[in-house]
Amino acid sequence: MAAHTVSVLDATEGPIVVPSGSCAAMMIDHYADLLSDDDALAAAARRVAGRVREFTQFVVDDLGLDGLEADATGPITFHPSCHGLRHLGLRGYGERVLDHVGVERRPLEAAEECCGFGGLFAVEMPEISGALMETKIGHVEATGAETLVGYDMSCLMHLAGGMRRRGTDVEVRHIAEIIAGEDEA
Amino acid sequence: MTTSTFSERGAAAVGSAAAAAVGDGARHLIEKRAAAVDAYPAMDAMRDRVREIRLHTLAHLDAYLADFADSVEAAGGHVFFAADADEANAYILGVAGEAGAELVVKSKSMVTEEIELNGALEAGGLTIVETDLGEFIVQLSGDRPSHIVAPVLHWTKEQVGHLFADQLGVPYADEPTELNQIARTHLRRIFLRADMGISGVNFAAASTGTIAIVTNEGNGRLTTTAPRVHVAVMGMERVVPTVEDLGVMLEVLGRSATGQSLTTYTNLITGPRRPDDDDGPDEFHVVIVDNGRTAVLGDEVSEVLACIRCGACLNICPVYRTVGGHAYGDVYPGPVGSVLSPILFGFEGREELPYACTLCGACLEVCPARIDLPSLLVNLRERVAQEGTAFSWLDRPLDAYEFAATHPTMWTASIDGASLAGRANRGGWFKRLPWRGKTWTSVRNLPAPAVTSFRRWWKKHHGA
Ligand code: SF4
Repeated sequence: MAAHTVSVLDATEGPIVVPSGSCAAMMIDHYADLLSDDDALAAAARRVAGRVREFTQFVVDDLGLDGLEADATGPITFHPSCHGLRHLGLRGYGERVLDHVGVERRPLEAAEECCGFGGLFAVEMPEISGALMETKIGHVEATGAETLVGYDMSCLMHLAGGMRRRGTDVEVRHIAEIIAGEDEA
Repeated sequence: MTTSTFSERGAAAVGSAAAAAVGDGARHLIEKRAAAVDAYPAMDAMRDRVREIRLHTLAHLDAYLADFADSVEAAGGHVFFAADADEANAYILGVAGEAGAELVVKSKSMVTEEIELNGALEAGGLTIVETDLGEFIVQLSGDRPSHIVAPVLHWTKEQVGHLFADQLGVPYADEPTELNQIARTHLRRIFLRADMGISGVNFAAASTGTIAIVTNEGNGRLTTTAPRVHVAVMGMERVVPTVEDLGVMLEVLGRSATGQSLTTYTNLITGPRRPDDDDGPDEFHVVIVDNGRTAVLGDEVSEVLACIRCGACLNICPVYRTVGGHAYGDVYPGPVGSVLSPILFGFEGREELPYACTLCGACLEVCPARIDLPSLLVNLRERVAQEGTAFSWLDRPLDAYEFAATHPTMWTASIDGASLAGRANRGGWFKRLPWRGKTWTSVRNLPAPAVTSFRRWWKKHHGA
């Protein structure tokens, strides 16, 4: 699978913007290792890794914050997912983007704590994953925010699923949706 | 090791009073650590030094252990290298026999938990009394420690109060200072009669044969000085080259463990009592325990032996805080335990431990030796996966996913199929999925796929 992705991406040019920190971390940190049996593929993986940008990283470091606008009205709160935060070292990136566009951002208690998704962990150990998720959702509810914003699609899907189950009335959106606005086409 | 799996024990522990107590206690400890680290700007540089010293020592462990043994003997002590638990226990029993010892006091030591020393000594007819407050509670109640630094993190003070009232015949109390006093009074009498003291070793300096034992209760000092014989038991990786190096370890240990710049008592012990010493034991023995460590030295995860047993990785681990220590099934719980236990004691029955982690990376951020626990866990996962011994029920769905994801026509077809399902659900949510999907929907809903896939949307709006 890594080989397929690398081959497809290596045939393109420019930054590769990835909307999930965990996927970006995988491509940057692990693809070359995974493909180390094949020199050509490993080299391609390293080329691809050099071009991969997590979305908020791309916005802050490459695009610049100027001219960005918010597409959100009510108060939001932000969950910095672990892979972006710790693997990619993006502590503060999402918050910078959100504060720049001027949405009302409510601080999230224990924001840096894992939401319990953890990839296959979510299905391997659903009760433990679910307990971590409940803790996170509890903290989100306590902020009174209308929207939970994150930068990792997989964690957001897991949290959105948990909120649905629990009946939490908080919208879940990827940070890209907040700053770009949705295409209503 | 029981026959249940980590996920079964963990699932059962979720929401229990014990797990909740561990969660609160661990959170409190990690907050204290954060405050101590904030107040100590040198921490990052110190962590680099700790890592450097530990890895250097491990790379030359045989030489440093030989130096250490020479130094202990030069100071008048005895050294015994134990290949495994049985050898260690037999030696200690032998020392007790020769000294005519009957009553043994112990200060806290994880390695003696590992080799199950208490059981072996009791089987040999000795009476053992744990003198660390936490270990005393564990012993009195027949429980097991749930944390490597704070053994009874899973207990409430009210529970301790009832235990003491029942077992020691004292009036019920639940003030920590009172409880401490009750244990102290009870233990003092025992200290005075004890023939032999057994302690752990936090660090050992090769150049001088000095061992360091840190405690917050002073019981370590009494254990190592009051009885006639002192036996110190250490994992063979506890050694560092010099006393200065030992000082570096102490700079980070207390801060990482409990947020203390230094623990209340730091005992540095070199050899038995000298002729002009006022007190101290007549005999001093150091038992250096291998018990699987030599094999780990040559392993890809050997870095785990750099651990200084501060417990910070347990305290910050969201999984540990949710399930508590007992779910891990061995004496070493949490992230470091999930690496150590399978590699030291064998993978059988421990296949799930490397998966007991979301790979959130929080432990790596706090480890004073900067041990890359997430990577070590991934390394162990690869071994378990090769054997196919954990979560093999996931293999087939994942194979199917990989096949579809690497074959564009298949992928488009599956996405279209999923969109159909999405349409049937009107962009809503699945509450209950059949078969393998049920572990996802057991705790959360799954968003039904978008009615129009991104692929189709792009085609419609941008041509090809
Ligand atoms: S692995 Fe690191 S954080 Fe965990 S107990 Fe050992 S030294 Fe402390």
